[in-house]
Amino acid sequence: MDRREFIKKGLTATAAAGTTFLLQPTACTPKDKEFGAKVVGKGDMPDLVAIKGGEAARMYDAGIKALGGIERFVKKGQTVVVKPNIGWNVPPENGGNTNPELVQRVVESCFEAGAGKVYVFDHTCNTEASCYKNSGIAEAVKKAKGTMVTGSVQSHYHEVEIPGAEVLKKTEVHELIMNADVFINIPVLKNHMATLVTAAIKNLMGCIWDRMAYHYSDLSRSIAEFCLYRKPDLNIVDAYTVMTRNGPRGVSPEDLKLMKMQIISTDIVAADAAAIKIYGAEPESIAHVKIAHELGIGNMNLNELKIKKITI
Amino acid sequence: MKLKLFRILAASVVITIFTAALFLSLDLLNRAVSLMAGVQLIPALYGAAGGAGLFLQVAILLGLALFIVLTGRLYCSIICPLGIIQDGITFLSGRTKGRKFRFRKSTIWVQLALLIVLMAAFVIGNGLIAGYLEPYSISGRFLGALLRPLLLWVNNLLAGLLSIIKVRALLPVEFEPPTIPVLSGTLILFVTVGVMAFTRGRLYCNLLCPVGALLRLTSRLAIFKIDLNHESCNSCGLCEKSCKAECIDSAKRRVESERCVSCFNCLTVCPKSALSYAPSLRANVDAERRSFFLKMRGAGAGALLLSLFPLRQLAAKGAPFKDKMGPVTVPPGAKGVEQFYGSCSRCHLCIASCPTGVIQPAHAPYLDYEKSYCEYECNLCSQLCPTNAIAPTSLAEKQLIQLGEVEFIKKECIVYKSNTSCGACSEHCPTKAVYMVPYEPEVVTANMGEELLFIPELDSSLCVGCGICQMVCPAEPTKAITVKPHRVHKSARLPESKVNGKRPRELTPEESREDFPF
Repeated sequence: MDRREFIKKGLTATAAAGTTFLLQPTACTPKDKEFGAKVVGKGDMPDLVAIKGGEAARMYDAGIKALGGIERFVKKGQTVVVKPNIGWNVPPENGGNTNPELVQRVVESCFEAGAGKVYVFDHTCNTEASCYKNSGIAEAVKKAKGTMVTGSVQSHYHEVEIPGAEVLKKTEVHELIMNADVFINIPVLKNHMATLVTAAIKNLMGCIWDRMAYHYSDLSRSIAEFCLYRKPDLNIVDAYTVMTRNGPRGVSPEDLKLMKMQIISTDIVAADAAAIKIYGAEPESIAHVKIAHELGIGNMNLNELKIKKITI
Repeated sequence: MKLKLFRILAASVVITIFTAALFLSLDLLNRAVSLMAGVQLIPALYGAAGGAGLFLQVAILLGLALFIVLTGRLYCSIICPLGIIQDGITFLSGRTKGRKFRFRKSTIWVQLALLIVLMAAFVIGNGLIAGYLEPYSISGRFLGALLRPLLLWVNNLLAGLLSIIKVRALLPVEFEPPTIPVLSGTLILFVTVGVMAFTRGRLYCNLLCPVGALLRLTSRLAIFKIDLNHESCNSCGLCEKSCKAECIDSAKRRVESERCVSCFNCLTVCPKSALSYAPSLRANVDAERRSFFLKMRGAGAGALLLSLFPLRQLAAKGAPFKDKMGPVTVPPGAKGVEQFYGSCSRCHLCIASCPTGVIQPAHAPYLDYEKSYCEYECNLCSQLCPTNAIAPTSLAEKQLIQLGEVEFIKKECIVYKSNTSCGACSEHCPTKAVYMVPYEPEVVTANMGEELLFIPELDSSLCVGCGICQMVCPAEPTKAITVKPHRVHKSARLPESKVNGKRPRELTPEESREDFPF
C-alpha cells in the first residue's frame, strides 16, 4: 500500500468512524401530522384512576386496565412518544426522575398493544448523557425494546405557534411531540422551588427547547399555555416516591416520602389536581394548574369527575 | 521486522488512547488516558512536587528512570505523544520510504538551555513556561485545541449536510471553539514542529525538546542500544537514509546513540543484518568516547533533578505571581489560583475531557459559568490531570469544596423586576444553598395574578460554587445570581439531607390505611 492509498483509506475510515464519535441515542425524522381526539369509547370509563400500595409497574397494569387498557390509546403500527422526567443527573433512589421500572413497563405495554415504534426522550437540565444513564431510564427503555432519542440537538426542535396563548405565543417544540401518533406523559410528583409542586403539566417543559424563555416571561402562564399546542393522550403521574422538599432535583433519598401511589388520566389538569392533593396542597394554589383549568385545558374540580380508586 | 512493528503498534495504541479521549467518555478510556498522561516525564515531575499521592508519583518517577536506563530513548517513540505525532507527519512526507535522511552533526546546547529554563520554571513554581517548552503539553494542545475543534467542526458540518437529506447518522455536538490567542499560539507551535517533522524527521527532539536534552544526557546509562557491527557493515548508507534522527554515520559505521529515538527503521533496511537492538553494558559504538565522565553525566543530571524538589519548596513560596486574569474560578482539586498555575502546563486534557465543557482555555484554564457549570456528580478533571495541578479528589471530597461563593443581586432578579415566578437558580442548585422564600412585591403591577411569589435566599455555607445558578439565570443583560470566585478554595458543609440516613420516609401504618385525599 503506498502513501496515497493509505491516506485515502485513512480518510474513509475516519469518516466511517465519525459515526461512532457520538454515543448519542438515535433520532427520528419529522413527518407532517395533524392532531385530533384519538381516544375512543369514553362511555362509562373513569376520568381518572388512582392506585396505591404496589410496585410502580404493577400499579400501572391495574390502573391502565381500569381505563380500558392501553389498546384504547395505542393502535397497531402507531408511533408513540413517551415523555418521562429524565431532567436530572441523579440515581433512581433520589427520586428526581421518573421511576425507570415504570417507564419500562409503559414502553413494554405499548409494544404489547402493537405499537410500531416507541420513542423516549427529555430535554434534560444536566448533561443528557449523564441524565439518560444515571437515571436508569436509558437501560430500562433498552430492555423494553424502545428507542431513546436525543433532546439536546436544537435542530430537532421546530418553531410552532400556540393557538390562543397570551404569553407563550411561539416556542420550539421537539419533532416527536409534533409528529408522534400517541403522546404519553410520565411525570414524577415532586416539590419544586419555583412552582411549589411539579407533576403532569410542568413535565411538558422538557418538550421544548428554550426553557429560559418561560422563566423570563411569566413562568406559570407559559407552562399552562403549552398545553394549548398539544395535550398528552395519557398522563401517568409517578407518586411511588414523592419528593417533599429540596425539589425538583433533590439532594438525597431523605427528601422523599414512600407513598406508593399513581394517578392515570387522559385529563392533564385532573391528573395534576389529584397529584397535588396527594402531595398535600390545594390545586388552586398552584398557579399553572389554575391557569390551565381557566383556559379549559382540563378540569381541576375532582368532585365533578368519575374517579376509580384501586388498592393493591 | 518485529521491533519496528512493535514500535508502530505500541505508538498507535498510545495515540489512539489520547485521541479517543477527546471524544468519548468511557471509564476504561479515562483510566487509560490518566495512566498515559501520568507517566509523561515533565508532568510526572510536577506531579511529584505537588505533594498529592506522593507514593504513587515517586513510583512513577522510579518506573520512568528504570525504563530509561533499560531502553534509552524508546520513550520518545512509544510514550511521548509529540514523538508519535511527529512520526505520523514524517510518514506522510514520504521521506522514510524514500530514504531521504542523512547524518547530521548536532549540538546539545540549544535544547539544554531550554531544559535549564524549564527547570528554573519548575523551581519558581511556574507551569505556563513548561507548557510552551515540554512535549507532552504541546501535544496536548495540538490534540485539544486543534484536532478536537477541527473534527467536531467537520462532524457538525457533515451532520448539517446529511440532515438536509434527512439522514441522522451524525448528530451535531456543541463545543466552544478555541479563542484567537489560544488558536494562534497553538498553530505557531504546530507549524514549527510540523515543518521540522515533515522535512527533517525528529529534528525537534534533538534540537528543541528539553526532555530530549535530558535523555541525551542519560543515554549513556541505557542498556539497550542500536548496535552497528563494523565487520558486517559495507557502508551502503541505507540505514543512514532511513534514520529519522539523522544520527547514523554510515561512512564511519557508527550510530550516535544519544540522538537515537529507537524507532527501529534502520533495522529493517540493512541488507547485511549488521544492525541489531542489543544490550550493551559497554558503549562499544563510540569506543573512543567511552569515559567515566559521560556515564556519570547521566547520573549527575538525575541527581540535579532530584535537588530541584526541595529548591521548589523553598522558592515557590515567595514567587511573585502575575495576575493576568483577574478573579477566576479554577477547577475543584486545584486548591487555589496560585497553586493551580504553579503546576498547570496547559496540556488541555481537562478542557477536552470536561463533560459539561465548563473548563475553558485562556491565559490558563478556568471555569466559565456564563456558558456552562461544574457538574456536582463529577470529579473527572481531578482524575486525569497529569501534573496534579488538579489534585486527585474523590467525588465525596469534591462535593465539599467551595470554588466560589454565590451572590444574589435582587434588583436584577426576574421576580423583583416583573412580579412573575422564576426560581431557575434554586431549581438547579444541587445543595440548595439557593432556596426560595415567600416574596411580597412592594409595588403591585397590573399583570399580577393571585399567584404566590417566591424569591431566592442564600445559605452560602452550602454553596459549592458550581455555577449552575449563574448559567441558568434568565435575567438580561446582567445575571441576578453569580458565583464570586475564591482565590484559595474554601470548604462547603454537607447538606443535612446527605448527613443523615439514605432512605425515604416510609408511611406509618395509619397513613398506609388512609384513603386518597379526594
